[in-house]
Amino acid sequence: MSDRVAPDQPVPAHLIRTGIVGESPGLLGGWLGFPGLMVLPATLLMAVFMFFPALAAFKVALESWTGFSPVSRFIGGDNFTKMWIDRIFWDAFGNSVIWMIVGGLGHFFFAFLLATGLQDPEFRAKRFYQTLIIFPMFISAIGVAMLWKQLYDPNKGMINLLLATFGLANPIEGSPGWLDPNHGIYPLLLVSIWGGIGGQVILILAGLRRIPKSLYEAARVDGAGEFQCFYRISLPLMRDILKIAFVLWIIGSLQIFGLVQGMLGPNVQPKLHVVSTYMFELAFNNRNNIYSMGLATAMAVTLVIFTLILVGLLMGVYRLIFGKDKLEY
Amino acid sequence: MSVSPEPRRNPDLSDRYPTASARLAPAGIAPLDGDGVTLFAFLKNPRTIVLCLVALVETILLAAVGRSPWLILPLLALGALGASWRARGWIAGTLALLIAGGAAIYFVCGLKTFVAFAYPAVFASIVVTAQLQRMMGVLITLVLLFGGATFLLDTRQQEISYGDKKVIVLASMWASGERKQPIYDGLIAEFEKLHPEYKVAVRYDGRWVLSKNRPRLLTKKDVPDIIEGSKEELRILAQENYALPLDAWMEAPSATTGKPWREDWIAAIGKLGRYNLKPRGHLKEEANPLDGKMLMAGGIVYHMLFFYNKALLKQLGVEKLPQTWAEFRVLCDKAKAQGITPIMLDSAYQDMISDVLMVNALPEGELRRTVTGAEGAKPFTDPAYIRIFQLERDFADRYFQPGWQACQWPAAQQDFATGKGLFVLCGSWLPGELRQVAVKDKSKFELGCMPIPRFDDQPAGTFNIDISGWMVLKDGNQTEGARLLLQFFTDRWGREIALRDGNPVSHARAPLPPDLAEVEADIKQMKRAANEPVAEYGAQWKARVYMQLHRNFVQAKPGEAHYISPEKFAQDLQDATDVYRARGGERFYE
Repeated sequence: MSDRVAPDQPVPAHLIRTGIVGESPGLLGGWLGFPGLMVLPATLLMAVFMFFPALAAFKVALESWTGFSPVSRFIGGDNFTKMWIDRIFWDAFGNSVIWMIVGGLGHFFFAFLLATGLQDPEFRAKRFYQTLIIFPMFISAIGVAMLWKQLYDPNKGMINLLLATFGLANPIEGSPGWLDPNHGIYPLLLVSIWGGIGGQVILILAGLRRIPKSLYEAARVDGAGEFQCFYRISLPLMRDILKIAFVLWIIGSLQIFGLVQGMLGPNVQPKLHVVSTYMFELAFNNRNNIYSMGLATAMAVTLVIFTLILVGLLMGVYRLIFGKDKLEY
Repeated sequence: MSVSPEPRRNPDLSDRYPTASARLAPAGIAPLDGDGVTLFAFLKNPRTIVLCLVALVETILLAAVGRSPWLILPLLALGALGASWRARGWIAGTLALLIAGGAAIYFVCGLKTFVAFAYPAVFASIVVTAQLQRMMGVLITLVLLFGGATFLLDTRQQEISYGDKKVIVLASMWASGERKQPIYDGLIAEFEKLHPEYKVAVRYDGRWVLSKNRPRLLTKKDVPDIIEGSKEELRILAQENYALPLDAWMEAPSATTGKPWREDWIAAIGKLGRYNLKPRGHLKEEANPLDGKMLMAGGIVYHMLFFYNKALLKQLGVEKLPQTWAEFRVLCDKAKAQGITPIMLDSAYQDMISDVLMVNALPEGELRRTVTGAEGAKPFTDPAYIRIFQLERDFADRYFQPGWQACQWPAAQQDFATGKGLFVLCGSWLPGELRQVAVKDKSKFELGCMPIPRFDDQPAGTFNIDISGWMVLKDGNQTEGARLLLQFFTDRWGREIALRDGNPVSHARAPLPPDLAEVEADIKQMKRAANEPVAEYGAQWKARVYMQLHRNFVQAKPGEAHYISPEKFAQDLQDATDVYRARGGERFYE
């Protein structure tokens, strides 16, 4: 029997059954229907390469394992106890939180500032500046780190040489030493803002461009100033975009690794560790002859749980303030 | 249930742009719910789903069993059934050809080829012919064929390249393109001529050689025969019982001299291939059977030296090099008074200075006794320690280069090589690294080196050294080949590295590199090769107790909260070490 169907003929029942035409009955009550089938390969890949290792990580976190030994020893929550009394971990954790909060403030403040400027219809050179702002995103974290390591050099770095011309630094005395551990991770945050702000600018610009111009025009007719327009119109109408941007920032900032490792080299000073670099040192950086895969994994698990809690809190706060209503203009 | 209505169309465009259904119907392809999803229609067919699931199960079974190609038969039968159900005729013939072709590939090329290449091709062809969705089918076929071919090439590359030769795999700590590579390549070519039955495959894994080989070691698949690294890096392999003891080889005659192979090494340095694998800290646990065995054949030696700029020394009018710390301080003060930075230092070498001072200035094993709390051990508050901490305090306050706390590697050696500082503490690899960057004007920079100074009451002749070398792995395939290769290396490799690369080596007959001629006599009269790394017995103590306190102590500037006296630092260190021991020492953290 041929499966050819002329447009004006009734559709044979067996073709409807197969799902080739008409509404597909789907397999497994619709779970494995056409959309389910389309996402199945990706889901399987995710399961194999993400969920399974994630579950395995929980197991490793409960074990004493060098990472080289074919066997590991179950030690229950001992790794978490060790982590609890580990001063370097708490310093690193503090730095990660600083990165998230202070870095977040810096990133979003400047991103808003730049995006608002780029949104101004009378700003002629916006394409040029847009490119300039987004360009650092194309440089890898290590490239950014190499560049800024040179700029920060206390003796021959361009920043100190520039400051010296105004009498604000003395390169011969090596001051100021930007990457001095006593300054904490703040100089690195500045680099992070320079290198990563483009992402936030793109998101915020997309949000701003979505807001109807008529709202601003009406507000201005009613006498609203720029700040009021921003505070009363832009911010509230971008809350969905901002939620995404905040969630992405929380996840990304707590995972920061490449920039810190790249700028501080293989021997990151204990005061300047973030959680990811410290985990890396414990698990893979064999310079100190420390092989604590179990402890490092316990830290990774803690970081994941902390991230989930923060994201959950953010979503909860959003729901509390704005309810479940969808944003409509 | 009914077919979706035809979407509304502009009647003027109907002739020029017929619907997808109208276009596909003559080709025998069934119409769909709407335009635009025709390409994926075959995915909705339960027959395809069944085929995919069967293929998946088959793949898993083949991978699990790894032997029987006959498992593919049910798939072929199902495919044939599906295909004949759909179109009959020529498809059945195609399938027959595919089966015959697949069988031929299996019998001629073997199972791996069949699984990697023919099997996906057969499967894809069945899907294609069964559903007649040519575009998607061709794509799937291409992807599967490409994947299969890649897999095949990857797994068979060695066999194709090396034929019947026995392959010795050497995982090197040097990266491709480093100065050691051409030396390796040249010597290996010679070795292969000498032993045509062997092929040496070098993997230039670089400094991440351990991490890169860890999956191989854990799975015991494709394990290198020899792994190269520093003694401390390779310690974990000794601890985890991956290394093959070389003691018997050492006593057997060397291929080049006929004498016991152990005589090929400088005695004081060769013995460093033995590992102290006693349980760390003071906790007693079962002994490691490899403790004290020769597990590494020494290669390069890293002497810790003070390198100086001869041009600046001449400018200062100094002719005699300092031998004691007192003389060293006088010279540094003199340099500082003339506006010359006495010691160049960046963050990479901060800990190294501390290591060198501790190991050189203390009696052998003293630090270990203090850390582990052995009976009669000196506490950190003992004058023997305090004077070391005082020296560091003085260096940090007066002699290190400006802004050293914030300088990142390689700032110190770059500045040194451009004539900006008098001394730099570094390993004997420095001359090789400076060849490219050092200024050529000898009135500004000329490299010199001298042994680490000592305290007045300390005997001369202690050299703080580290070594790198080769470890033969138990799970490698070519143990005898590894022995032949290492014996071949002993002589030739050492000579080449010393002369061409500028690194001293641990081989007795190799010369000292010309750059180190100044310290040749000192090295020859060496009384003690100090190599007592803290990592051997107190890695966790060093990382979690010492380094935190020590960096705070050294990096602090006058007026800052952490700026404390050496005595206070010693007391803090002793207190923290007591807490570390009370918690259970090293094992607590592992």
